[in-house]
Amino acid sequence: MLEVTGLPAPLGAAPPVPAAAPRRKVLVFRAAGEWFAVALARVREVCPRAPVTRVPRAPAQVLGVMNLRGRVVTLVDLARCLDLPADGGAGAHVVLLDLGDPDLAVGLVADRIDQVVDLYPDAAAGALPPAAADGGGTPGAWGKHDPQVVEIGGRAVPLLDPVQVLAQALPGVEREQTGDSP
Amino acid sequence: MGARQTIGRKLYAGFLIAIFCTVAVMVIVSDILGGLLARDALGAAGVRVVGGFLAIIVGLVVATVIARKLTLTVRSLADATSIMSQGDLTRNVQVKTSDDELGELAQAFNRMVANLRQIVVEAKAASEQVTTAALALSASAEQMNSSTGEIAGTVEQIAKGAEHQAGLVEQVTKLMREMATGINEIAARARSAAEAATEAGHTAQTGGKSAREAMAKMKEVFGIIEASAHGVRGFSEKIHQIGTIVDVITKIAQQTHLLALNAAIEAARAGDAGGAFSVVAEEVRKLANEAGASAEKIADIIKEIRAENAKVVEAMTVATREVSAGREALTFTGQALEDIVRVVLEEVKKVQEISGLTQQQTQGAETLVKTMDEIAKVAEDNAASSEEASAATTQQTASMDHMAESAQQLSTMADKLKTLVARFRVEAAAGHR
Repeated sequence: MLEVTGLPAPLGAAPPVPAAAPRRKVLVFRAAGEWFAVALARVREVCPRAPVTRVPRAPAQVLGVMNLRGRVVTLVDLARCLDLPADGGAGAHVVLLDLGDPDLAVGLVADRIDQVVDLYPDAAAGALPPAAADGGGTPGAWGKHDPQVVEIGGRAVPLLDPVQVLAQALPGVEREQTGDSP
Repeated sequence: MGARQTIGRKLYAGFLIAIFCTVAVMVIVSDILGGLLARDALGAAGVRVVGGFLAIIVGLVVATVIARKLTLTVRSLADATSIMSQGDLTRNVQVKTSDDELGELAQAFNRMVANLRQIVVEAKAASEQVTTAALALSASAEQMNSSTGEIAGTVEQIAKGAEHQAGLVEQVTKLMREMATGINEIAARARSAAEAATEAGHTAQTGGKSAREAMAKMKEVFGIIEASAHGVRGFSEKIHQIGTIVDVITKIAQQTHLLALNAAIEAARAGDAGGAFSVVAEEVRKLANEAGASAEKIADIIKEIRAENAKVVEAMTVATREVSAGREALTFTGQALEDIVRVVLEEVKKVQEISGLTQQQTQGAETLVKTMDEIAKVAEDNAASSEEASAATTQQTASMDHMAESAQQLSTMADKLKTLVARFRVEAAAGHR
């Protein structure tokens, strides 16, 4: 388990509020053996993965669809989207994304959803150098996505923009330019 | 005495006659013729001479005639004697005058010849008889010799056979002795085998008892293991229950975790108003994590316990198996030992029987040996007797030879005699020289 501590916080104590600086909350999760972070604004909810129904003639990145409280959610294999070694959507959790369209229900399959982390500007690291894929993954695979890498708990975790990532996978995704898109 | 005188008288008479004749002649011639013829003195002398010659001649003739008569007899005697000297006894002398000495001599000669003839005939006959007897003796001696030879041969065969018999008897006796020794050994071994078997039986009985005791112990152990297994199974179940509960707790922790995250997401969506709520959500998440961590620890411990338990269960299973096998083996052993005891007892009986039989056999063998010894003695005596008989036969053969020799000698002498008397002829036949 990744011991991720954005801020050490004893139970019950309110976290110290730093100087009024814009802070971003990211959700840290692991998919296909890799840790990723995604802006919390882009996350609608997390839930356990229900049985997946495969969709014929769907792109490889689409694992299928799932029923979430009556709604049909499209499940996407993040590793395939990023050209990383895929595990076929073996994760037990789903990160349901908020892409701006309330009718669009897309979720990423994750092995483990860790926590919500507050990020401060000085905590953000630079872009991921092409050859430094943490823990495996082909060098240069990030090239076209060019994500930001943030330091969380001593690890370099790529910060994803799901819209960008999914744009290629699902051509129908509309880019929504919001204020806090990375 | 009378005969001699007769011959003498004859001779004398003859002589006188001769002289008379001579004188007569002479006278006659001289006187008569002289008278006639004698004219002169010379003529007378011549006539006297002639008359003398005539007278001598007449006288010689007369003398010769007379002498001839005498000498004829003597001649014939001499001839007969000469012939007789040649061996011919068949001639008799013809006797002209039987009253004078010559006649007597001739008679006597004839008697002698007759006697001699008789003797010779008898001698011939006797010699023939002797020869025949000698031949018969010789033949019978030979027969006896050959019979004796046969007897000797037979006796020798008997002797050889007896020797052979004695040898065989000795061999048999030796074999019998060996057999007796072997039987003795068998009896001794049978006895020791019986003893060993009895001991083995005792040992088997002891072993059987030990096996039974071990069986009882093993049953105890089995019971204990069963109880332990039962306890372990109960323990396992409890652990399983704990595991289930821990699973539930873990699931709850996970779900709480997700709920906390969702709460954080909603709090973020609420913006500033949801700040405290996000803190609470974070706390809840941490609690859930801790619970989850503890649950995981418990799960690990449970795993270890389960592993240990599995080991224990396996050990007990193994132990149970071993005990089971041991029990089977023990049962088997107990059975085998009982079988052994039974068999051993049977065997002991058998061996005792064998021992008894071999005792009998030993005695029988000893009797046999004694009998064999007697037979051997008899055979030896037989052989000795045969030897004696053989020796006697040899002696007899020697005597036979001796007798044959004597017969031969006798025959030879008879032949000699025959030859001697063959010189004399006693049958009248053609002249024999």
